[in-house]
Amino acid sequence: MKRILIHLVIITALLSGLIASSFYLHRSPDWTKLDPFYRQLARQQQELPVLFGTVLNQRKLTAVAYWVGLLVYTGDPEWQAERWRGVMPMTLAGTLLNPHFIPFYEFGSSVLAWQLKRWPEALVLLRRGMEYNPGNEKLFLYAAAIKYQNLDGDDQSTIAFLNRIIFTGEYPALLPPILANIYKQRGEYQKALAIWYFLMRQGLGGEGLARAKRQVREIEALRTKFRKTGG
Amino acid sequence: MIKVTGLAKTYIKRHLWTKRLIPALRGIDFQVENNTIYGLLGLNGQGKTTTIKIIVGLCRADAGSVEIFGRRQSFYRADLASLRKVSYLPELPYFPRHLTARELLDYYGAVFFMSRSEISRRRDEVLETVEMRQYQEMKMGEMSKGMMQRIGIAQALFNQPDLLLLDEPMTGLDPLGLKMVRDIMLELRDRGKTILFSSHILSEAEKVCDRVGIIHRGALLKEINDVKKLKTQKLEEEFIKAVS
Amino acid sequence: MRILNLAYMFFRQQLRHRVQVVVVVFAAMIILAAMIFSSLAWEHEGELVVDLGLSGMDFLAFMVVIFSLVFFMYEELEMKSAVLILSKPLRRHEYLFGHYLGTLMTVAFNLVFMLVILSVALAFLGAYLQPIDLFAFLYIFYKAVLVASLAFLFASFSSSVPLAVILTVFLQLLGHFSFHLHALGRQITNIPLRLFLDGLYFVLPNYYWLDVRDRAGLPGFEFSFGYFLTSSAYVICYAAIILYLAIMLFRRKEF
Repeated sequence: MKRILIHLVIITALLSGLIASSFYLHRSPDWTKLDPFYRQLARQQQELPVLFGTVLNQRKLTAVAYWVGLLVYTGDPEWQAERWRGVMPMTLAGTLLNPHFIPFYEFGSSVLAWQLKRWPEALVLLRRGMEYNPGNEKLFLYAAAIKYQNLDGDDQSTIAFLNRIIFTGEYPALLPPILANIYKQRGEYQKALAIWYFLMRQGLGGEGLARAKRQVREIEALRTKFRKTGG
Repeated sequence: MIKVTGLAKTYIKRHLWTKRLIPALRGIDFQVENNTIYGLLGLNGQGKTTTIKIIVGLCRADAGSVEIFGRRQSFYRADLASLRKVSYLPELPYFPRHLTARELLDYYGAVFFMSRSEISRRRDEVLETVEMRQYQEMKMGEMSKGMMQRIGIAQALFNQPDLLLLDEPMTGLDPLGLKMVRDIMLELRDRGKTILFSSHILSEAEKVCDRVGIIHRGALLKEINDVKKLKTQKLEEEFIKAVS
Repeated sequence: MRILNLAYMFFRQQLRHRVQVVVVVFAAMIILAAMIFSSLAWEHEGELVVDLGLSGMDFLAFMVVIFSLVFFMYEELEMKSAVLILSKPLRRHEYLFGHYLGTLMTVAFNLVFMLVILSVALAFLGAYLQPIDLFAFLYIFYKAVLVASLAFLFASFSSSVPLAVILTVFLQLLGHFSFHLHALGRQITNIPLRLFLDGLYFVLPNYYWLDVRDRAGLPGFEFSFGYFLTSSAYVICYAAIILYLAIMLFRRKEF
């Protein structure tokens, strides 16, 4: 009898502990804050991976997968025909999953703005980034640069603006390559090369270094061609 | 020492919604006196192992009772005080494959509330007894059947039990091993211990038992009180007469 | 003391079974990821490696528990090496709890190695683990505590290894699902169905509450001391109740 009583007491204590903690934890997700994510998830009819990642509590891991997917996608010339129209949906999906992963905004917006010339979408993306990461100043600088180019439409003033940001020393990593590309497009090869050499001196590694070397080779070739033809 | 009264057991085999009843014991009574060797003899699958398992608390009896050292045993609440003085050797014992003989005995020893030094002393003694000292660093998975049986006997001797329950201890042993087990059993008996063992090897039983019980289809058919007085080969005759 | 000895022996046997191979798998995964990400994510490769690493640890900890379950059921119950120890002066609950602790020791051992590997890989990338990452790591262990208790419950009542494994995996999936089942329930007007979903939500192990790894830093989640205390209480109470049931069932088991 005494034994049964002890068991009953232990079980009751454990059950009440379980119920109390369950209710506390149940209240802990803040639905008002959660809602944007779930609302958008529902509205945008995201692909299966997003739902899968969410349901299995693998949002961050799925975001990583989206990030790698985005890099592979943008680097693949096969999609040139359709002007890489998947960039925005992929980036959005990634930022929905993990809104604090900054490279989505940086990379996504620069590809959209400077390569694909889709300024409004780039700004939408950056606005979302700023909303979720108000402490990140680099995103504001990106947005400012895009806005500047967009409003002015004049390369010269964009160049001046970008140069000013870069000279502050606290510049987002993607701005110097963007500036170099603008120089390259304008035929100012010497300046473009100077930026790439500067970046290489900064201690680029891996893919970044390879990309810089590729760019240097390309620009050198363009420069020789330019000298031969135009003098 | 052991008093078994009216022991009955039916195994229930369930398969989805069907249920099959397999009677194993149908009311067995026997008693094992102090300082004797009692042999439970019977063909395979007649209830010897079930009886031993119920005594040691691995199986639940449907009816009847078991007393060891005068204390009644219960399935749900093992009587640790009596179990400390009991040891059990299952038929074809299976040991954790990845432990060495030494680790295995340390593992079992730790269960018996022994101190570390006591454990290592006992371990060396029992390994010596079963002539396995030189193999103590061998993993159980690498041992032959006979070696495993010897380790099984070693673990049964570990706690210096007053009562040994041996289920088919002769299985898998070579002639030297057989003789060793026989000698160990007789020596233990001479030192005042009690042994209950099951077997279907009548010739071996004849050599060591003081008393035997012949078990058949879950019932104790016959008990022979003075095996020593039977003439050679007489036990076999008695056995065949009882079961046929 | 005797329980700890059982736990240590079970732990040792599992190590002899080379369960640590998960650490090698993890190391290979992390090194590869660090190599790839170091050139793919400007200044943020650390975050990627941490996300990947913690998810990997979570999965591998689950695999270790499944391995322990299979090993326990096969070696101890199916091959009946348990009968030798159970016929000794040992209570059934000591035996089961000892093996449960042994499983947790194995999980903890492997997780700690994985954490060291992750930290070293991060150091090479010039990043380091944040305090919240260490909590996330602790919660991965918490999940293993729950999963292991369920695994032992299934081991106690099921006599077939595949059945126990399937049930554990099934509950693992449902446990991650339960929060979303509940969210779904909020949209449903059918009261009995809604009650059923809510019931599931509270009865099933709720891994959503324990996935600090995935929720830290995301909107709607704030990790606080109160959260830490209550979730720890949740894990302890839940695992204790499941283990209690497991022991009750195991006491009835015949060999």
